[in-house]
Amino acid sequence: MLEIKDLDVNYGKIAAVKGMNLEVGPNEIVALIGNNGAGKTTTLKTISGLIVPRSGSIHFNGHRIDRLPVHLIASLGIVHVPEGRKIFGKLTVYENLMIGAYLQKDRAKIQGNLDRVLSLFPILKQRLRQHGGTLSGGEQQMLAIGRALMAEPKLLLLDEPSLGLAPLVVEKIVETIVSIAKSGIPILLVEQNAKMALEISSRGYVIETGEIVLSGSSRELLESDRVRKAYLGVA
Amino acid sequence: MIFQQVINGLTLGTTYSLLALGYSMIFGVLSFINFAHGDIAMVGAYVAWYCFVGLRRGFIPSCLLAMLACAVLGVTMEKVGYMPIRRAPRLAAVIASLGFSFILATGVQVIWGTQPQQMPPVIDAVTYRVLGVTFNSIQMGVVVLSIVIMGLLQLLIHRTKVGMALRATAIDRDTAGLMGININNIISFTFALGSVLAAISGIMVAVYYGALYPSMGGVIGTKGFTAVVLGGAGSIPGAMVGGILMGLIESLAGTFMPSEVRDAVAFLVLILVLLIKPSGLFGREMVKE
Repeated sequence: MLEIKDLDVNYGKIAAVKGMNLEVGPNEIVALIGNNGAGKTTTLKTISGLIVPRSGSIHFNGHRIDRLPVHLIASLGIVHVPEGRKIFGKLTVYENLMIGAYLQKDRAKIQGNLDRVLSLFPILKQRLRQHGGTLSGGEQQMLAIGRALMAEPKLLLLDEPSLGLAPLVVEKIVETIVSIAKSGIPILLVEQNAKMALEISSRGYVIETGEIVLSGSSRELLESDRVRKAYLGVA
Repeated sequence: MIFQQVINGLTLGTTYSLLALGYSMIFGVLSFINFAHGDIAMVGAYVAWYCFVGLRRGFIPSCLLAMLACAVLGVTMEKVGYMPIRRAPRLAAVIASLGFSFILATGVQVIWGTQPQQMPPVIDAVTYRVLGVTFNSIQMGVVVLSIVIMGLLQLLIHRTKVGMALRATAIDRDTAGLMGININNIISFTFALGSVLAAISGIMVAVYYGALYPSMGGVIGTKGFTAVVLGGAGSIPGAMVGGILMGLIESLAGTFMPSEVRDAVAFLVLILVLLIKPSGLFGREMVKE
């Protein structure tokens, strides 16, 4: 589905991602874990077209996408839920959801998707007329995921969905991520919460200062010394 | 006397509002004040005048042509001048807009001369007198048309898909792009719409005073810009209210002060707002940005 080959991304003269190879197959959750500033967000932004890479290639379902403008990449079904949720604060919750469906034409389908999102996150139903900016962090994350689902994604990029949320809310988000993947949407999950990410994913990559230093099945990674020491806090 | 000035101020004010809306919408999506915006209004007035007087076309077709010309001009300006420096500090865009302002004002002087031109009456103005207050059908036309246009604009922005995309783009350009919105199209649309409103505003001012001149862009531009600062940058209702307030302030100031200082009142208001409440009545603070 998604294939990243020898990707280099620079910020000015600083190399943010170096020679990255990464794949996401159908029906899988793939975790990309690493510390702050390791290049996780840069990777997602490059996939969705917000950053143009220096070299390397990204293919999605046979299309080469690494030079396409952002809105065309979105139209291929790659939906990016950015770090910090990026809810449109002065749009209502309803409008935030509808803007997720911006590229959808079929009204009946949009309504169906809306019903599904609202049954997934009933709390949003009570908030539909409120401004997105008035929601709590957890509700905003639900709205961000709901907004993404309105786009009928073929691949979901999630950037730190658990960041800054209470444990109970994280649990709810994790449940949702797993159920989305089960419904047939592959997910590339970027997380600092390595334990959570590796527990729900099938495969994982570890990124350090822009380079993939380790990859494999998530179970192997959870048991590897390097991951345990550096990311799980086990001595 | 006061009521009379209120009527006059309202007429002027609604034309400032139309101009202010363009400033505000462009500020909303690109975070800079397009100082060439008043000059677009001036070009609109000239194109309409030339069609109407020079080519002897009807007034309405002349206006439509001017609106179209300004839309094309605004979009071209953005593509040529502002798009290449979109990621640059906003001061670069402000300076580019000052450049465009000079180009437009000079261009009009080259084509149509430096002297003021006379705008003949477009309709036989009927004068009404109600309770000692005089107003004519041109004033009424200006106010009613402006209010209708502002109403339609509100509907467009709050009830249509493109309006929603415009608001989303103004809030967060990158995330709007992630939703599949073609940001370049939305920005072009904003410039086209703003420029059409500017053309209408410029034509109204020319018709109201019966005259047009190359530096009028700077004069009404200052008023429109001050209206934006007063109402709050990036706020649509702010631009509307700010414009009307500017017209009223200017008109009332003209009553109590010599008419030569009338145009200076705009600057006084600008300074006072920036000192007392830089975010304006409804908007976000502009000075930092």
